[in-house]
Amino acid sequence: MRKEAVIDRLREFIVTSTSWSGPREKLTADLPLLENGVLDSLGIFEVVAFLEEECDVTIGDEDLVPANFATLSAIADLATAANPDATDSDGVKQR
Amino acid sequence: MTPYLLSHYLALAAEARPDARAVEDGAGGSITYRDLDERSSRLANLLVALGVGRGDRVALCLTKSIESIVTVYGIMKAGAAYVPLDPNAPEARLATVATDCDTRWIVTDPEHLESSSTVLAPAAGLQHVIVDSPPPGEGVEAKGWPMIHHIDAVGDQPSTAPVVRLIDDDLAYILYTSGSTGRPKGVMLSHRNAIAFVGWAARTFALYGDDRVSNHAPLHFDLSVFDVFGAAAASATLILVPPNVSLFPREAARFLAEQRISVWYSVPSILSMLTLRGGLTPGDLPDLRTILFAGEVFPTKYLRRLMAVLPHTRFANLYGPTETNVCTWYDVVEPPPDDADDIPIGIPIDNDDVVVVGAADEPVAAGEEGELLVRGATVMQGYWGDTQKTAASLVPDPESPNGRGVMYRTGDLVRQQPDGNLRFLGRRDTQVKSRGYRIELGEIETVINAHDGVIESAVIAVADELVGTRIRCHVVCRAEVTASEIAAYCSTRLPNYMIPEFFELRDSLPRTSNGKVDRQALAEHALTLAASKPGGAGDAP
Repeated sequence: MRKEAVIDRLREFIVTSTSWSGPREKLTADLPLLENGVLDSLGIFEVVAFLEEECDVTIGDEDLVPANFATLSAIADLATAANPDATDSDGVKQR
Repeated sequence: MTPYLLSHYLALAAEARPDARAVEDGAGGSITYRDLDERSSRLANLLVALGVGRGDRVALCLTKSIESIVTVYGIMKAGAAYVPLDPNAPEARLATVATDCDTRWIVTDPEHLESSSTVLAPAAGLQHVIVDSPPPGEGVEAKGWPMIHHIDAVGDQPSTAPVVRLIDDDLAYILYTSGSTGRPKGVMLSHRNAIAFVGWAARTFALYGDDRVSNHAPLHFDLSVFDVFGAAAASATLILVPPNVSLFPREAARFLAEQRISVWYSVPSILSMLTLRGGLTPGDLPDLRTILFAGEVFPTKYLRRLMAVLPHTRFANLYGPTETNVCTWYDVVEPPPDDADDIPIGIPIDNDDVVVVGAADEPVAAGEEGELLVRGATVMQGYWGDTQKTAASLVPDPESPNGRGVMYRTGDLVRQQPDGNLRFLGRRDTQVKSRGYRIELGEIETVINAHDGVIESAVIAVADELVGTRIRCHVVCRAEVTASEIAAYCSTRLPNYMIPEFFELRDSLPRTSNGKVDRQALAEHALTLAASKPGGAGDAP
């Protein structure tokens, strides 16, 4: 459940706040993000800032590799692995 | 021979260092100068056989590859100008460009064959599609596509370049940039324009045969002119930077190290990210002797950090709208002082000259603000098929001895410092830059206003230190339209870098007392939002 919630948040963020402007339905958990041009260099930085802010995780420079940003699912795995305790059952930081 | 055509650089390199590597694709593939020269000559002969001649335009829609470099030379050797299309741009925009430059030929790859043949070609009246491999499937003729020529056909062509008489005023390429009235403008650059810049750069940065020159920018972006032809001018090796490398700073750092890149040229945003997230420490990248950047302002705090990590590297800021290639430069000898927000755009390059003028086009005194006008060898020939815009941009030069000389109006406001260096202050109009790309906000509004559900819109730019600018759209719609519908609409008509990052639906737009859209109020509104939400995220509807 937690991972699904992170994926939903990420999807919402990418649709509303990055330069990508395709339809929400296309953005499945397994859509290859890099091949489909969903994330550009700025988009990756925006996603990292979003994760650090919203999920209270720290993404190290060494985590910035294509494999971790290949799909929404992979990004969610990165976020939960980076700090498994910081996400609550909704997958987001309590405010 | 003194080279006066861009293809001369290749011919001379192939003669001097035939077995040297001309291009590496960063993934194990490479081509020597001899092979690059021969293959591009074969393609040129095929193009000539298909009717291409002096002054024609040939489009290319190719993923960056060794083939794309072969194609650039092949087109020029056939006497034509190359028109690089952005393979990632929406088809409708590509068709607009292909139609505007009135081309009958396109070179493409299997990935873009379908769109080139079904959308681009019929829209633009293209007659010949040249695809690099593999052969198109069965029944292609039945689909009513234009004639498709497999690039294997070039194997039957002679490996010496066709004889085409050209002079250095002939067009070498046309690059399309954002136009304020909603149509991209085709900037015409001649061989002389390009060589004036490339020759200067090769001398100034002392490019030589052992250099490994990166190619980060795509071919439709004018930074690629330095990479592709600067490397050839020095018979150095051009290293194509794979797309993933520029997405991930660590990958970029590793790529620079593994490929032993010695000269790097890109927009500053990539370098800022490399500084922040590349994991570089002093002593890294010992081969990287020169970093050139252009296209936008390099935030000084990142430049200082990068210079501290790379003490052995020379840094230079190159300035120039596409219409002038590069026209001024600033050698960053010392890191900028802590209190400097930006660095100068410097002094004119060889064979270019600048004038700073006031509101009545009168030259202003040194130290006063004014618009930068440029005259000289790198200044474009005009906008393809648009004499009006050309006349507005290339204005008569009062100091021209024969009265026929022109100066290019950059639209950029500058001031000359006491030491002679120019400083960039801003724009006279609503053009902005994001990730090095020029964007006319009016062009975005024109596209959005054409949507059936839109009543009116106002697009503004919000400053951002990493990318220069973020685009924000305020739109008044009929009830049933959503922001994501407008965004999706934009994605079929505009390249990615022009699509607003934020869409805000409103009941009305704020107005000034004389009835104009109050852009100042919208900008302040955006700043308030950005301040209240760290990262600027999540404020779209």
